[in-house]
Amino acid sequence: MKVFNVNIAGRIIEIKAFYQGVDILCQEFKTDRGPADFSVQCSLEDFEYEAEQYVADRRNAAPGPIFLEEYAVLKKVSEGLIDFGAFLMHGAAIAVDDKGIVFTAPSGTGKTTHVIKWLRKYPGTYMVNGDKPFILTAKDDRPVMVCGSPWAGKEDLGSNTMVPLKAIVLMERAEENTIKKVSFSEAFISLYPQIYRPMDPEKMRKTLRMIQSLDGQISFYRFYFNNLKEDCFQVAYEAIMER
Amino acid sequence: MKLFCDFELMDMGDEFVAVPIGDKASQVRGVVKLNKSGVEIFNLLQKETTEDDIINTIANKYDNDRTTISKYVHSLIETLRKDGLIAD
Repeated sequence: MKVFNVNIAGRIIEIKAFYQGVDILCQEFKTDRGPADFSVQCSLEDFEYEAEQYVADRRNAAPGPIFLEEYAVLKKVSEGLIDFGAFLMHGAAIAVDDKGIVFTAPSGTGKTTHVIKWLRKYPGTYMVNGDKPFILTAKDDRPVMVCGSPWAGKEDLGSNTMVPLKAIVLMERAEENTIKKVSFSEAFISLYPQIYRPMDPEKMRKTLRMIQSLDGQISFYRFYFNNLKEDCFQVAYEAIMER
Repeated sequence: MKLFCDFELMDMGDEFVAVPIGDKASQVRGVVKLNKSGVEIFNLLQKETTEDDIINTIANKYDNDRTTISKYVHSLIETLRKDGLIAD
């Protein structure tokens, strides 16, 4: 068994992993700091549950235990971080002038293709996380932050960093590129499916309170986009960066 | 009858959103948007009840025409039932 500490969303987490996959995945996030705020270790039941979920969601044969452990550890880390004011999102998070923007949409919509345009076109932009960033809610003087995580998607784009979150952009494919600022209540219906939703009722209530605390702290946009059209990047950039 | 699972109500200002929670939540697709009147009925459905009980409770609380209340309650319950959110 591999035992090591990682630093995610400002918290020290002890991970006990059966397989080297998680050890390699977490390399950039490892830390010598301690003691751990909490510890995660998967059981056989966790592996079986992840296998069932994988088969149900994707209608493919379940992957091997190395892959399953990566998912199971992500889930346990997500559940643990809820108690420390952070929740997991599905989205591509970038930093522009050290301010975070999270682009979110169902898988296959074109988030990664779009954010790569930002990385290429604007020199001051870098990837925070390409698939599963954590959102750390505001506390005292600290604003809402978007945080990198080891789970960075199949392109493995991301870094061990956290930046103040400026906006969440809800993406939907369309013929023409248009973007508009929306209220939290307008954004919530599309945002909700992209948030990690724990089964434990109390943790789910905490998650909902954290999501609602974003109201008034960050901006929300609805972005109808066509990655094939040349103005795709510019339309979003000018609106979100208020240029 | 009662709601299929537990829900947490979120106040969005001009409307409410009911979010499924608990071990049956994964069987519910999406969330439920409600106005203030709908929230009262929804709250009553969180425990075992009947349509008549709900109508009586609302009618006793508000000075509205009972026929109007009955239609509204029935309509909401049928909408929730069609979406699989009522356990009879």
